[in-house]
Amino acid sequence: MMAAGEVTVACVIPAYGQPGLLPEALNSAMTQTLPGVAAVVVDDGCPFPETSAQARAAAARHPGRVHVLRQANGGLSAARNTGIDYALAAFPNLRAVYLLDADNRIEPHFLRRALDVLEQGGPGTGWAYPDIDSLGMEECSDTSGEFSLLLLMQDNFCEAGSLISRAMLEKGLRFDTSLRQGFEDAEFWLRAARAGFVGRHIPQSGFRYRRRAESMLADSERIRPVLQEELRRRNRELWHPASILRMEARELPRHALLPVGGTPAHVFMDPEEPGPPVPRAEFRAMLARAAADPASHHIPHVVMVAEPAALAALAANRMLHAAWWFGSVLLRHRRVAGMVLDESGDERISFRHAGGSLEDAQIIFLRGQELAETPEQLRRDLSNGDAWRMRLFLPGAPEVTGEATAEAQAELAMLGTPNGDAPPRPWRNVWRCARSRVADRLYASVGVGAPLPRLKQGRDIGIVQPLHSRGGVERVLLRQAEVLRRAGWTPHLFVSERADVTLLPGTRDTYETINLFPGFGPEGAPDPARAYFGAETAAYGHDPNSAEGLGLLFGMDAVLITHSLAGHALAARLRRFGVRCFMGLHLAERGAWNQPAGQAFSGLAYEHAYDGALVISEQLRRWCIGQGWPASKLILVPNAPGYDSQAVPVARGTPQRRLRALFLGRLDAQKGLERLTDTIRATQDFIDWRVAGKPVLGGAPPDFGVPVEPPADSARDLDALYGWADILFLPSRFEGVPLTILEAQRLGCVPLATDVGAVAEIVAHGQDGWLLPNDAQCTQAAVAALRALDADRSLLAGLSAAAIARLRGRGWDAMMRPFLERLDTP
Amino acid sequence: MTLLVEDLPGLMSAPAALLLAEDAPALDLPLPQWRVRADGAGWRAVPERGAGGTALPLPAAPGGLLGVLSAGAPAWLADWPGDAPALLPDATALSALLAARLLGAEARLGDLAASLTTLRAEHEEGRVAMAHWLRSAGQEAPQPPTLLHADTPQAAPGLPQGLSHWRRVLPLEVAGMAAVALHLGTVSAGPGTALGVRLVAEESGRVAGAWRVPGEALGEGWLMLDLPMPAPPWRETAALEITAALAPHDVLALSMTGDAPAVQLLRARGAARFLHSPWWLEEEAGRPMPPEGVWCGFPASIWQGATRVARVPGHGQAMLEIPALPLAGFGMLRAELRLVGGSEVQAALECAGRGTGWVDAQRDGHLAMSLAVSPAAWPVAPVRVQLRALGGGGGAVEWREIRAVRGGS
Repeated sequence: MMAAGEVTVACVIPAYGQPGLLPEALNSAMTQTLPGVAAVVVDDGCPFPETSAQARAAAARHPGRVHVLRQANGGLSAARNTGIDYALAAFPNLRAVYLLDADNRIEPHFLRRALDVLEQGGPGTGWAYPDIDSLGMEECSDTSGEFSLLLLMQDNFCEAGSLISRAMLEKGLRFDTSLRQGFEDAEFWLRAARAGFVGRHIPQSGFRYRRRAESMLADSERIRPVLQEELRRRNRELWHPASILRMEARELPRHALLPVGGTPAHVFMDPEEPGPPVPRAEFRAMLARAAADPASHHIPHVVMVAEPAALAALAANRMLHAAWWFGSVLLRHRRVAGMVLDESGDERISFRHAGGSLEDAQIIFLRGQELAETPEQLRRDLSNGDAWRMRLFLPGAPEVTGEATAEAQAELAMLGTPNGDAPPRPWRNVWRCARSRVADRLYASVGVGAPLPRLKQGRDIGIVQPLHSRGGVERVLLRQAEVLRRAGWTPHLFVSERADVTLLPGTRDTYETINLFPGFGPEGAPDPARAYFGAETAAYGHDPNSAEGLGLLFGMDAVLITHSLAGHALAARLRRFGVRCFMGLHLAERGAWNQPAGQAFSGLAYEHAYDGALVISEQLRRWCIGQGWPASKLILVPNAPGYDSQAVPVARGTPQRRLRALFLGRLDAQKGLERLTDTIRATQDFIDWRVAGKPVLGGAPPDFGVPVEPPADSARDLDALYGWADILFLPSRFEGVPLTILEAQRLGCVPLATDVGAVAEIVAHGQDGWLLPNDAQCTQAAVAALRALDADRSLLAGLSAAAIARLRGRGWDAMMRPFLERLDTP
Repeated sequence: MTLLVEDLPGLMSAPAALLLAEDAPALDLPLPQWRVRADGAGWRAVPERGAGGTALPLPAAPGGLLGVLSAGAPAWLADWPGDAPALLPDATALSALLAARLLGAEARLGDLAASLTTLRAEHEEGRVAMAHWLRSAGQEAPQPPTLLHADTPQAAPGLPQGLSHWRRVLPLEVAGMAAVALHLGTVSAGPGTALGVRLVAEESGRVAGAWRVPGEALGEGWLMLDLPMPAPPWRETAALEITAALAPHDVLALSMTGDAPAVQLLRARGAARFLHSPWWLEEEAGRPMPPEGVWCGFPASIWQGATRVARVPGHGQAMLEIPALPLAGFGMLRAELRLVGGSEVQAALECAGRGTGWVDAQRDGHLAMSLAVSPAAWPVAPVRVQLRALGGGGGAVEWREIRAVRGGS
């Protein structure tokens, strides 16, 4: 007679409909070599009286060791829970509970080995799981290797027939009785893992799972997609891509770096946290293990062979994370990819990519699993130029040496040489997903592509814009990003539609990372079939490549998406991941035929997807309300000058010299270039003109009759231009709140500008500037105004002093306060 | 209202039990009975015999409960978990219930006997078919086996005197295993030396093959140990247990790979190879191995024919002996004796050419000795305890216990 106090392990056996097989399960539990094993049979309202008779017979044969409970039918989970509750209450010295199904068996040493693993598994070990050796339909399935929650999310390899620690059950973990169609065990292990427990594999355990043509499992497998979706729904936190990223970093890091020169490898997720060195021999051993058993042994998916100078150049340009991210993306297209870094010659980053040779690449990317399994194939790919080649132009690119390619070739040749000491494959069936691919499958299951490999350190905000050139919008965003950084946010730049970034003064200091969308999808393209009241919407939204954009952005706490169609297309999905999405709006434009056009109109199609919108003028705010934006979603962030001036403001006096006028800006049609041309020609006899800028949207500028100076970027050059000029001339056809006007005013340079957009909000006609009609009379009015100012220098002096006064105290920190407050409000 | 049960595990593990209402008479039957009484605001079931102990809530109906002996429906049945149990007004009702159950059990027994007869007939036909098949399959020349696994011997260090033991789990399944080979370096060994090898199906702990090779049969190079026929289709992991017992002055070097002996494993199709190895231990094949690290006792039958108590005359010697101890799978023996009269007696444990040397009894007369088991003792060997008296008093010694443990140390 076994006393309750002697029981150390209870085998909970739910019994329903298996009276013929129940004695086998019971017998296997009763013949364990581990002392102190009892069985708790929960007769789950089985309609066959043989079930309880068999259980009673076993109770008679094994006094005190077989406990029989009968309850109304509640399903497998309910029966297990009843047995667990009973065992915890009835056996004071219980150490663990084993779940044995009535049609399965365990070999005599099973519980001894399982308990050893459970109790020696280290802190947090909650359960010990076996390999799955089938009875009947013979199949032996390997579940070995370190426990990985990511792997468990992908494939439920933890059999219900696992030994569970008392500590885990005392935390209240029980099976979910609402899951009666299957996968209740998977759901249970996932919940256990969320509670901080891990499982451990029991080698050579001796678990026998009865596999028949029809069974509860066979039923579940028929509706596998439905049940998997249910698992995801119940465990949203786990399937959040940021959570997958953290687990990936902890369990299955994505990257391995092999620095040229044969120095040790590094295995990591975030290139800024490269982890401890891994000697090359150990890394090769990792590869060999992953080749032999990819489901049990991890090898990073992206293996980079790189020249240290190339990595330094990427880091200097804030492109290190982007480069690793590109590695994941490019390796979707070929087994081998690489980057050729080339000097851009100016402050610019741009790229092109296509299939091609990598003989001059400073960085080689190799797919990890294929590096492990078929290094010869990769060597041929590299030799034959069957690779994806990305040419990245950036400042400070190192010289081409060919060393990365040579080292990659040598490594591949060494790995391809047969080695008698290769680790053996397990004899059981390897059925689980390769560890190196698990994370990407999980990201894909929630619609996300390769993740930006950055481990979170604070509050991140993504500044998403279609291009990053010298335009006013980019300058505004850069200034706003500076304020955000000062307020404790970490800004990141994402350029969605142009493979081109102009590095403005402050770009690299302000943005933590610089990222470009890869250009495999229709990032900037409108979808002609889905215009919203004629305004463009994004084709990218329903393109599979948009998953990569999500991969770039899901790690942000907030994003500010300005004028980016691709960004709009991602906003709703980002919001589902908890990313707070704000739209940046600068103006409601007009097209060539004065038709409503541009981003403000497109933005209306996406209003629902955003938490709010930043508008730069009161006029635009009212426009948005008129268009249906809820007023409370609109945040007024008026523009301020686009750079920090080093000059002292000087009100223009009445000098006895010719008047000086300046045009500064993009040389695009929007800026009223024919008005500029006509005005210059009509006034050259009494005004000295300067024109600085360049076309951004394409097309050569007209002949202004004066030389065109390059655009000014630096504060010093801008101060010099505004300091030189008495008048800033801006005859634009449409504008938002032009920075040039604010910058000019700040230094006493008087704006003469068309009354478009919200210009009237920053220029009071005849007080601190001069407004022109935005019509056919514009040039005539401009010439008249210039003549008047030339004739009456005291008028000019008054306007200049008033302009300086208007701008006094108008800085970005003050302008951004409402947005910062909104961000701080949950 | 909750029903609390004292000795709940007793109630739940009873194959048959009764609950008694507060006023029902206890029955003089070999049936465990619990009486339910009002207990404050609730109810408590207390065993009629024996101590109750802690009371726990009744979580579900006890599987072995026959019913409730009660003239009417007790109030506490209202909260009964699940279908209400049978109400038995008196012993006659219980008799009727037991009779019905007895008849049902006999009917089930009849069904089972008929099923067993059918199954046995089927099994006998299967045995006859298997025997025919084996005889005819054995007419063919043995097929050469396929090499499944081969280590490259890296070094062949000489073994120390005494026992050496290794255990190696291989990434192979047992099914179809036809031969195991070890690689030997320098060998100069005689009959006192033995090499033992077991092929174990790791999950179930069954021995798939066992060999004992005497020293004089050992030679340099690969030592091939054949199974009489390919191993049964056991889908289990193969593990090798290798034990070498090296006699004094003998030399034996075992080639290693890393820190384990280098091995080859060969597989053949079932019925494609029948070979008889002179070193094969028929008695061990198919036996379950004892659990690792657990000191196991032996059945009482080992003492049949044994000398368990002996008187040692002054200045004289005597011997205790177990004539046949089943040592398959064990690596260490432990004998416990007690001096039951006299003093100054020494003992020495011996088995298969190995011994502990003389050991003194402790002051309290207790005497314990441990001895590593040589492969020469596989699968069954006599075990002796030599006794000698140091002085003229002599004494009597009783062999109290012998136990053994798996593993080499």
